[in-house]
Amino acid sequence: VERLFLTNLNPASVDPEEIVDRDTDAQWLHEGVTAWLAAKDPRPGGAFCILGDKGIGKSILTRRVIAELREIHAATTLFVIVDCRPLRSQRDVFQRAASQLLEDLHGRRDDADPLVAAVRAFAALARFDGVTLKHAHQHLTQFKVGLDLGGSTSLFKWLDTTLGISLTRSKQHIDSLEGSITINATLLHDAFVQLVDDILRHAKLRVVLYLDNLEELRHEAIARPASVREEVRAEVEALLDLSEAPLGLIINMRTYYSSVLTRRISKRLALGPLTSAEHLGILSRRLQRERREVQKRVNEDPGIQAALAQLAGMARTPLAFLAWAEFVLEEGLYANANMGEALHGRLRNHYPDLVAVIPRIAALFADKPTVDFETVREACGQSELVLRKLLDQQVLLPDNYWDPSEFHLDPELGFLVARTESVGG
Amino acid sequence: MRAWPTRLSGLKLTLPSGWYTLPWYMPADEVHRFLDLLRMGLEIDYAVELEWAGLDELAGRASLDKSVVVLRIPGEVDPQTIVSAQAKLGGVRIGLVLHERAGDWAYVDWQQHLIKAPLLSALNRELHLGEHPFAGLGIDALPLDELAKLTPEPVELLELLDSVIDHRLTHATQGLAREDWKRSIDVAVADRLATRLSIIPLADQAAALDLAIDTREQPLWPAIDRRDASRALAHVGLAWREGNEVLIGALARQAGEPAILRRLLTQLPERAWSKWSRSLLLDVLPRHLPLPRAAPIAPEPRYADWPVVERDEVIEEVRRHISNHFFDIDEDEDDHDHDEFFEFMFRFREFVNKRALQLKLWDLPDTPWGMALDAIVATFAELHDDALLEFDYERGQLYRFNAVDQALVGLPGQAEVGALVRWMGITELVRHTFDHRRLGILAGEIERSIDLVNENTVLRDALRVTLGDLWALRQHHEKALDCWTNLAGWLDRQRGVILRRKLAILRIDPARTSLDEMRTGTVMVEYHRTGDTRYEDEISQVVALLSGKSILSHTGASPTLTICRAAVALERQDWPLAIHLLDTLDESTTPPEAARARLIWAWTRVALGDIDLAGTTFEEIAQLAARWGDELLAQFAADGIAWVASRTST
Repeated sequence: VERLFLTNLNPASVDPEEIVDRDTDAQWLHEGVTAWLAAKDPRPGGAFCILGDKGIGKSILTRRVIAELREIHAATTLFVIVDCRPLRSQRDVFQRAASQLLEDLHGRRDDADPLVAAVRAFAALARFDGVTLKHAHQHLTQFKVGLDLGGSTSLFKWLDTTLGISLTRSKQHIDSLEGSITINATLLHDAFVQLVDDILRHAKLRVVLYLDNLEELRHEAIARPASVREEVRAEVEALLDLSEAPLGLIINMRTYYSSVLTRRISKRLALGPLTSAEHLGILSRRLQRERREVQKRVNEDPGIQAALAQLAGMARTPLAFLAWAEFVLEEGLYANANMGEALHGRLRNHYPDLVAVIPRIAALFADKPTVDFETVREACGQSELVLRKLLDQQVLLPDNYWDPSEFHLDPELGFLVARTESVGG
Repeated sequence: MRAWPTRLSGLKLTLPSGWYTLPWYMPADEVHRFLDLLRMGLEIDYAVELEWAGLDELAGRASLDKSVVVLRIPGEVDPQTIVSAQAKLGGVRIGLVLHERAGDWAYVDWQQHLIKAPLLSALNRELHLGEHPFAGLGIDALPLDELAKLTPEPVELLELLDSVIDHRLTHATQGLAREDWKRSIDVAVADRLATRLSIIPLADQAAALDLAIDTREQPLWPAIDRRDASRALAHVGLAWREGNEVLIGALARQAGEPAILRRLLTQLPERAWSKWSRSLLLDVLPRHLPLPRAAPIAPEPRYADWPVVERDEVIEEVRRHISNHFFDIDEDEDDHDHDEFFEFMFRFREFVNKRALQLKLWDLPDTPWGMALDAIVATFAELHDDALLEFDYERGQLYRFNAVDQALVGLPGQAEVGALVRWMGITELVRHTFDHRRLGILAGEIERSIDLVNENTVLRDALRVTLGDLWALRQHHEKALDCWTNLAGWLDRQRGVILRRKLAILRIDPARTSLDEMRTGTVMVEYHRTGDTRYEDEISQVVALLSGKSILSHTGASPTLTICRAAVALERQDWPLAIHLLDTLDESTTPPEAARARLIWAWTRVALGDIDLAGTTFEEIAQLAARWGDELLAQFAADGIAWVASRTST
């Protein structure tokens, strides 16, 4: 069977241009953020949370809305997007945010602008963990142009009053400084809030901070002792406290993470599954970037159409559907009557070290969406190691991250349990 | 050969900015390759590799938020210090931390999900779209999924892929079909596995290899009983270890596959093989290896001399014995016939012992015995006349001997003497006869003689030994062995010696010879399986000869001795030692050692299942044979090439 290569398809793409439908959901977020942007006083900040399963389309939806808002409010708003997947702490988040702010300010302001200096100073501060006062002064003095911001409060005044870092000190004075300070996460948080306030006061720019994939901030803690999970919770709660800051906060997280949300973040939207037709529509949109002969073949070959229909019906999320469709087309497996079987090769390729275990685990979910911890453990042969591997690789996802007693299967592995109609059947 | 077979222009990665962990065991060149991969997939222009020592100098001065950064950290640095160091560097586009402290759990999941999956897709496209420069070499038949299922790490996948393609293109003459590519995959996988296992300290290698082999069917093991082995595997990234458990990775689990195990044999040091893993080798390797085993027995003959019936001590002894048998007569007996016979025997002995072709015919008495001797001497002279011989061969019989038979008519012992003359003549002729039909004619002469000498066991045994040689030269080894072993007379006591000598003759047709089909093979199987003492003496004689002690005393250390010692190791099924010895052979030595070394290696590689390399080696041997004008060696090479061709897609 001929392989059909989709040279431009990236199932994990979050390119806003590639979104299909979700108009109502997008409108909800669009209107919410617009309302906050339109409010006279940005305090308290506006906080919005998009919830949903892994791969359901949270990121692409949010990025589409941000892209639209950026077109409208670019002159008055800085949009900061931080993907939390590789990040491990608040400090990492603030560093990414500072980097994004600088990028967005670039072109609006020249390098000598006091506000740019303030952002740079914050970025430098985020690099310090434990630091001598002398070194902190020596390093931050280069941003003293930021003192021109003036006003009763500013990041630089905060540095002086909170940390004893005054950029007005003479070189001689700085050289004589002794002692050191620790810039912990709490201080960084406060400094960031002060920076956002500076941006608002002095540049009349509002900041919208989008924290994507918040649940991935040290997601592996799920398979670690509860104390590690508590550390992560503290980090996440501190980030959620940014909802008190004068910024628009948009958070994406998987549904199983949501019990960490505070009442303060009451504007929540849960994305539900799409229909088969919508899945097919998403693929159809993405195929428009492919070569014409590939499009023609996919659209006109009844075998391929039947296979895709079967996959679309099996998939619980668009990501799963796109990943499966890519595999089946590129491996030339679309003639297989049973798409579930056809996808077993993907299991071997993507989980080489767990290929023997996963089908056994998946079988637990044949007639129920969630399985309790003990049952999973039993299926792992009481092996803590296998369980850890399954959780690390997100084969198993908790129903509640903060109290992981029930688990469900990664939707991308749903083909192992899906009941499907045969192609042409 | 070295190919750079992937361009990956279609690779599109989606990787959020931030720091990621690289496993501690990743070598520098692979880290660089990973950097290149990220730069290509993410379209990032800049990359920098930072050393721990210079970090403070750089921190705060370099803007790295558009760069891929590798931070290599010495093992002694504690994790909290690393976090601080990362923070000092500020935002990076992609940061890769490589902490050189071996651990039990390598974090490669992110590579598997974020890099390997799109990489695999890009590779599939590249290899199958028909635009690849190697498309004409059948690269689309490469089963990429067979590689993908072995590793979560993208660079390892690329390294394996490169090795597979290198190997296949190097051995393209052996075929480019899917099954040929699969052989290349086995080679690449085993070599990769060996590279990782070789990092393990030698003291732990055998235990680690045992564990890897043992987990083919059961990847999860309690680590408590195999602590050092499981830790060693985890440290080189072949397993994950936690608490009292160890999960063996997909690559390491391949160690127990027969093809991989055979290849590992050539890649790992001898000490990496425990008694247990050595015993496993016996299940995946042929028990009987007449070709590599038999090849080195004789001390350094030129190839062109190989398929001869050797004029060795045994044969000389047979001659003496036969002569004495005839001369063992009572010289005092008063008999006219006896006088003449005595004269005949005296002259004949002179002829036999001195090759007295220069005997003056006019010295011969004008008696029936004298005339017989005259006929014998004339016949031997005619056997050196190529034209007459050619004429006889065309007619299907050696009519030269008819004159002797006629001269002996009516004389006592005529049958024995006639047979003796034939035996002597044919043992001379067989040295120079390679034509299958002519060998058949010689065998016919011997068979006719055997029928005439039933009473004379010494002569009959001698004839049977020579007949065995002729059968062997004609590739009928069952019949040859039957002749060599079913001896009833004096030679029966020498059977072990005869057999040993005759093993060398088995080299004559490497392509079609298999000791498994032969009696000697069966004997050895029985011996190895049952330790049956009936065969002990025979086997020990063979092994003693092969041990090369006598050769050593004559030649000192030499490639030949190494070959012989390797052969002994093969004889004893000590594969690791055999491979180690063969590995030390310098294939560039001068002939004949070069050819012998290559030949034994080639057939050993056949036994190891590496028919690609065997094929290439046979081709090299063919080139050497052409250069040296060695027709027989050329025939060996041709046989080998044909054998390989029968097992590949070509």
